[in-house]
Amino acid sequence: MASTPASSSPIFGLMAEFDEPEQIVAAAEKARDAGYRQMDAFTPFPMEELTDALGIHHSRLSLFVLCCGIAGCLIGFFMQYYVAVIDYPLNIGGRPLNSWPQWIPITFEMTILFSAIGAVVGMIFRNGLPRPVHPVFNVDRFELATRDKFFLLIESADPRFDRNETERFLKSLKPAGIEVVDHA
Amino acid sequence: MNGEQRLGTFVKRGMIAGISALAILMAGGVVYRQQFFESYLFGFIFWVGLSLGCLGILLLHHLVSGAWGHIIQRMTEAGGRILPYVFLMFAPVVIGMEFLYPWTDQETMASSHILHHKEWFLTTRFFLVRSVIYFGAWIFFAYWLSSRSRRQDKTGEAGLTRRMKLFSGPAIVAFVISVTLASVDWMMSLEPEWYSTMYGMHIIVGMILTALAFCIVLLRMFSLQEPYASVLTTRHYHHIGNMLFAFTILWAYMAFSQFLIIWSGNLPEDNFWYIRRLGTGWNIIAVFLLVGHFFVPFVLLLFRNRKRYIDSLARVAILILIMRFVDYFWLLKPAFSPEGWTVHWMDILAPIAIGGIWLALFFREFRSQPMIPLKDPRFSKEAFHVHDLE
Repeated sequence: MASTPASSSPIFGLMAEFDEPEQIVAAAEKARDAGYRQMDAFTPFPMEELTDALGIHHSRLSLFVLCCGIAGCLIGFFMQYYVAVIDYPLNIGGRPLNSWPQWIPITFEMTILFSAIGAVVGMIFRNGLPRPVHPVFNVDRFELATRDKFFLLIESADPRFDRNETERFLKSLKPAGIEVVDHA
Repeated sequence: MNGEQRLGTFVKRGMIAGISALAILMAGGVVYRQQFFESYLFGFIFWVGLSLGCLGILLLHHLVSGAWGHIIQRMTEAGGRILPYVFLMFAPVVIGMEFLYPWTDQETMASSHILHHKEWFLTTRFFLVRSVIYFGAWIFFAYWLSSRSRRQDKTGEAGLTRRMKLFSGPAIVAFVISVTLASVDWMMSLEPEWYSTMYGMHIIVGMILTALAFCIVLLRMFSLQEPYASVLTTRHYHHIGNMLFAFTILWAYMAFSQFLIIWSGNLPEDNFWYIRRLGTGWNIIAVFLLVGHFFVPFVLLLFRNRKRYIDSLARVAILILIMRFVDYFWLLKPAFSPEGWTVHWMDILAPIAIGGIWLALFFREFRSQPMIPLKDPRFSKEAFHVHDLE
């Protein structure tokens, strides 16, 4: 997700087009073995195998969501505790002020609410969104990524990137075509 | 084959353990007759629950499909197909009805206004008729589905998949209603004044959780053996681990909802059930359940990698299986000893006796077929990526 244009390179990266899902997984694995790290792949449907092949590992998003959930849980519980025990104690049917079983549903809902909001907002920011335009859209054929083609992008920001060398490497993967991705 | 021999020894050892435990149990039953029936009911409920959980997963799997159900389909079929034997295991419960169910006593029924209204339902004859109908329906479901799946193994007939799906829709409705009623008959009516509309679902979710955990342990045992070794991937474990996680939460949801409703109402005809289970020595078991049956598995299963590797997933499944015993113990036993918890040696031996025989029958059934239905058209194409779209 290198979003800043690398001034050293005149292009954003090179993109290879494949016809079959098996091909792009194999290609991503080979690119990873060849030492490339700044890569991305675009497919018409989600593919878990590709995530592994690209070497996209654990995201710290889950930890962020967990923290949000714990925060929601505590806020939910102590909000009710504050109201019922500290701020406005009221005798309801002779029950103890700290009638915690009654508060569990709200506590649970607040946990889910905070986790869900944390997950969505965290996902958006960690993906570098909102982002109106991306260099890959400079390639006309790229719209086929939403239909039936599979694209593997190697960004010029990758330390191993070399225009000629990388192009030769991509050709060795036998793609349907190779496109040069210009900066936006 | 090595695996074949291994299954054969399971059958033999299960039978030997089960029958010898049963012999000791019956000898003990001559002396402590009341205790024998109480312990037997506890053991029976756990193992019939495992069979029913298997059947529930099988129906759910045919209805919604999914890679996680495909890999355990043959296990759930085997669990369902031994229901005729489980029906025979029900006999001691029938013999001991007078020791177990207070409503068999005419005087008790006449003594209370609430019980008076339940008299038409809680009769020995109607109880037996209902139990026969439940078992009949369950056995029919299990055999109808498994025989078609077996036929598909031979012929590869794709249309059978659709027919199994159409069958499972109405069948799962009948399943939920019949298991709810069975849980009322066999378990809830131990304390006949009490009732809760949540109870049936709580029990069904518990049974399905038991069966899921059981299947995960079996996957761990056979994961290095064909056909599993070449079929199973971390993705399968991840899916089934998520199911285990979901049902753990659902169990807690059911258990807590029932408690919250009765606690809020705080009416004497409802709350005595919880006063027995939370206001006496039983409360230690309740806390133990809250921690061991919910908090610990919940936190463990939150982690993605624990669900993706069968070794770590199976350890959580074993914990859940142990806690399932504790849960049934907490649900059933306070009816007999309301003042506090005790464990009789027969309470431990009865689940072993029934379980040994159950497992032997299960493995005998399980080894008779290919462990995975290989000609199911839904899964022949799933080898690569298509499953994500299904």
